[in-house]
Amino acid sequence: MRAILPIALLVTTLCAATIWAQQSARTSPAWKQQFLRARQVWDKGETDRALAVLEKAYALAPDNLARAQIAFRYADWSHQLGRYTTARRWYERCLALAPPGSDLIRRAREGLHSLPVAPPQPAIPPFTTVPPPAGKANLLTPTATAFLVLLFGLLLTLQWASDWKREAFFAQVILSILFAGGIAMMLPLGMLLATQQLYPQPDSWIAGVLTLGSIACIAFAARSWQQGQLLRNTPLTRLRSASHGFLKARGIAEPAFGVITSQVGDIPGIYISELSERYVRRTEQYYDSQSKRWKTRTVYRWETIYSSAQGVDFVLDDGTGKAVVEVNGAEFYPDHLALFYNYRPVRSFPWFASVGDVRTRVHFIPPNATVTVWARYYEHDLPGTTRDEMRLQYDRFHKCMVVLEGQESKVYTTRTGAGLALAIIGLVMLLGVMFILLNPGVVTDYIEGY
Amino acid sequence: MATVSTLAIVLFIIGGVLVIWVIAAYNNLVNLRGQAQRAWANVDVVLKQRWDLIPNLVETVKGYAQHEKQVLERIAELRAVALGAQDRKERIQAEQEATRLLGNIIVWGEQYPELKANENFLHLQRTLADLEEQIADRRELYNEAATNYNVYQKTFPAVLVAQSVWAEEMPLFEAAPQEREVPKVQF
Repeated sequence: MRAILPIALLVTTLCAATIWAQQSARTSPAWKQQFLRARQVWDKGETDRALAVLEKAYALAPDNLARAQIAFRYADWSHQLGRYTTARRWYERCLALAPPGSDLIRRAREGLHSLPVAPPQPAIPPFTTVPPPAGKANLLTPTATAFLVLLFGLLLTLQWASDWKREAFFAQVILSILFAGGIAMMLPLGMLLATQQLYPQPDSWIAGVLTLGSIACIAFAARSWQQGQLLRNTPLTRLRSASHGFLKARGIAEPAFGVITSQVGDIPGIYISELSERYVRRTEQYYDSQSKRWKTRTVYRWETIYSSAQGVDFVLDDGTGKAVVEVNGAEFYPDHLALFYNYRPVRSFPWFASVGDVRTRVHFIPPNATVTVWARYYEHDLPGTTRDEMRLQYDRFHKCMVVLEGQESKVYTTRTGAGLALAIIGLVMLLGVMFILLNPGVVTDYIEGY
Repeated sequence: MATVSTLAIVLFIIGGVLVIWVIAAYNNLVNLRGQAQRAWANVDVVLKQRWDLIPNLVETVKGYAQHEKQVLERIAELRAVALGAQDRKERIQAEQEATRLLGNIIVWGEQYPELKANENFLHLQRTLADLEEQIADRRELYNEAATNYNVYQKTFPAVLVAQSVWAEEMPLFEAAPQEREVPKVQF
């Protein structure tokens, strides 16, 4: 039942998104948007670009009436620009496409009559039947066929493969849909490539990058949330009664293997994270879009001159037992902070800086601090003895190890905040993809306009 | 045409991610099952060593502890069950009962002074104690690996793959009901 609920939610969301997309497309078709945008571009005085946008609208137009409208607009504008040959061709195209008795026919005839007499033109093929926009009809059938073949093939394999579960039909159907759907979704691109019909424009690349980014963000957000839940739900364990596996333990961090010291201030600790920056003046070049020229300017900024983060193995003593903590792969949350300005300790950094000033932040966990550790516990046989050594290490199954000094809420807040931020970024990217799909040419036009 | 290209690229990426995810989930499942099976094999080796000691131990004890005949018979039965078990759950139950009974035999040395003086018994007692310690260590490792495998099978979306193929929950070494009872202390 637990699995059914998320699946039902996912399917409902997908259905809702599809219906919304269809509704949007119905209320504001792509060709109409392009048609209106052509007018805006024309009004700005960018005549060639306006005609190019009209051509796009023409390619997207769903029926002859729409095409006739666009053809008339194209002819009219070409007429105004003095391109009489083009205007004549588009007037004739409009006459061929417009429904009998419509006002467009009358206006196109008037336009044709007002054109100056030109030398005879080669005959233009009639536009009685206009081919549908290429791609859609050609791709749908083979993709759907491939999907069905894969779906049933996989389902049969899962049902009849030896020692696999035949009774889990529902799960097998969903898995088959996911796998077959995944492969079927990859096919249209392959077919377009094979038939050399692929015209990747900036729209396509941007949409692709946004899709990848969106998936990555949502996946990392889910993982962050999952880890937050794991850390929150792991109970505190005493080392004496610990058993192998992931646990949370709290105790004193004894520096049994020595300490490390910071570069600035010589602060000892089992973990040191240090960042030194210098205030500098730089001259840099930039492109001025107003004057369309490269210019130079002077900027002041803080530049990193040294940064490092390192920890050292230590022994955790929780009063019931001691365990060696192997910090390789661990994520540290120190609670101590030391600030240095021009290598002298300060309480806070001054508001104003001079060129050449150096500021340093040192986050650290001092020796013998109370720390909480989330890690994998295991016992290691000490060679030559009958004793076992208790150890804590990075958990490869949960992909997690945390060493925290201070309040536990810090870890949960970081995880929740990061997860939420990533989820929002992912959703915004997804909306971007949908926007590009519903407004073809929007990125290309923006780049051309810039 | 540009729209078709854009849609094809977006679909390709989403489809690719779906396919890669299904394959990765299946491989993870195989990997975790392999780890759990290896951990079980490690426990199994020591358990077999323990059963190899049993005939010798029973022979040694039989002459001294006449009143404990039922326990010895039960251990012999459990040995047959454990070594012939097809199902891991059944095997674990037999092993756990055997652990409890063998623990009793080890303390017979205190109840029967003649037995305590027997060199062979003392040697077997030490060996058994060592093996029990090894079993306890390896049992924890097995429980960890089996828990990871069981948890992964039940998390979404891996549950779809796990439910569709051969994956089944692995039994754990758990405390027997009688071991969970709180001992009564009387002053």
